[in-house]
Amino acid sequence: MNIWNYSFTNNLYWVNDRNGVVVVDEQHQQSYLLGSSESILWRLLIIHIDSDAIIRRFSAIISVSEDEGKGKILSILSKWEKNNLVEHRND
Amino acid sequence: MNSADIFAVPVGQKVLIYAPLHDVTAIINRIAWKKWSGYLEDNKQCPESALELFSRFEQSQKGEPSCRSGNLTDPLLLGLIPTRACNMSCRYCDFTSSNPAIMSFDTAKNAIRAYLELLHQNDKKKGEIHFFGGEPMIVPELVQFAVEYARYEAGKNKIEIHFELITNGLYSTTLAQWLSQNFDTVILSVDGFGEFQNRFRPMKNGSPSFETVCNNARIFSDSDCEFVIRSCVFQDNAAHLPQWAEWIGNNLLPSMVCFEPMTKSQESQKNEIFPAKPVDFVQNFCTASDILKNFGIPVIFSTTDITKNTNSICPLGQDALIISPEGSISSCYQLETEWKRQKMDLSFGWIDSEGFHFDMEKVNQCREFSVHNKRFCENCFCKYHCTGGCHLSHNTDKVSGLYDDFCIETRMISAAFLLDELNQSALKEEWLSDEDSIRIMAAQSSDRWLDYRSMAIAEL
Repeated sequence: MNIWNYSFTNNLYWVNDRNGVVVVDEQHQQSYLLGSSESILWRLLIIHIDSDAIIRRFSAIISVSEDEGKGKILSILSKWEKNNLVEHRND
Repeated sequence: MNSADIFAVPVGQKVLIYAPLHDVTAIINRIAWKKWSGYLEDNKQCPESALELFSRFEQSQKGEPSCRSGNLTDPLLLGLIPTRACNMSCRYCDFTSSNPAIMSFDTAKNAIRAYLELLHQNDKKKGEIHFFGGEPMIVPELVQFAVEYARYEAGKNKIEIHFELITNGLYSTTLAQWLSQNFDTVILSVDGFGEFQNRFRPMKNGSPSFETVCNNARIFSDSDCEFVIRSCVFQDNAAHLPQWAEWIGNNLLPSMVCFEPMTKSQESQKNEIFPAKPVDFVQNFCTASDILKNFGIPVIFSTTDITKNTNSICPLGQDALIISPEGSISSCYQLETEWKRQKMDLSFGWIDSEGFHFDMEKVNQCREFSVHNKRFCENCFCKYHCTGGCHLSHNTDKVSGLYDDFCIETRMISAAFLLDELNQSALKEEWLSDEDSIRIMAAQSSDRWLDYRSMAIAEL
């Protein structure tokens, strides 16, 4: 995953099943049960589609405009960054 | 006691008594059968020797499975047909179209939203969304979108959705992994070893498909989704069924294996692929079934599910909402051209942004597809499990008892399953190895015990 300079941090593994996504941060010995829209975004990110397609599909799934969808994605990424699930690289 | 639905089926030297509406299955000998038949007919006080069996008929009496009526509020499932296109070129498949439509995201979204609203309005907490084709996974974006959207929307009302896919397994391992993590049930069609799969189910360009399908089968097998293998059986691969079963048992861990006899089609006839002879199919089916049983894997044939009584084994007649790529609604996943060939119109509505639009007159016509309306089946002991097979392709417009190969296969395998239920494996093996006994049973024109005078066993 590499979207707007965000990428998954190392030492993560995740369990994605029908109940949602659980992300385990081995380094910090913590696990996170992602919420429903977070799980959708996570699954879209791991199937390796481009950022435009991710915004389009994410927005369609949660029934918001693409602008709103993009805002929601950024806020989820920011939350994940605080929890060390993703890291942001400044160019 | 209603004796009409008590059946007596000759199995070698014994008689299988089966009363699905009374939950009774029993084996009696011919002497008992002869002696007790009159008591059943005259409703006389039965002799002491028959008391145990006859009292069970009295004790447990279920009604016939009923047909649906009234408003369409409790659909069996929502079916989505993302496309009729396919990436395989199966030699017996008539699902061909030069320019197949692809379902739009809006149609999928409208259908899912309307279905979830229907569930919510009727206070249902569980739903079923099934994907049919063509091959649904040649439009993975649509399937992925539909699953995510349905799960997200259903979660708002705490509705649990069971996702099921019927697929050919011909795609990347990444996609197979996604399916195994996001679907509850994956039904994979594979017709046996490479020599059969590659010959009869090649890729569109003629290339072999076995290796890719097999690799993906391992992914489904290793996941926690319910994984079902479905193999179509025809003349060429019937004898290999036991080896195929052995291979499945040693290499994969499916929840279930389904062996279905091939139905003749224009393509199969053009390519000179012939159905297996009924006795060959049944004998190999039963051997394969016993092999897989040793691995703890159940085997089914769709018309022989003796665990429940129903009036229709297919979605037709059960208010299933199957959405075509163009957005029309029916309860049948076969091609519209096939309905037309049979002079039927099974479409009963359409979906748009306002929701489902049902033509209730047509809905009610579709509900008429039930075994209750098939006089051909009325005297057959399999009627509440087979229900006359596919309402579209299996011709039941015939005199009762004039069985075709499909009926014979159903009758024999149903009897074999009932013998298994009674732990009569020795009797089953003896009966299945005697072709005369099989023929006598398969050809019995009425299984109703009340018709005992005309039964072949009366002559034995």
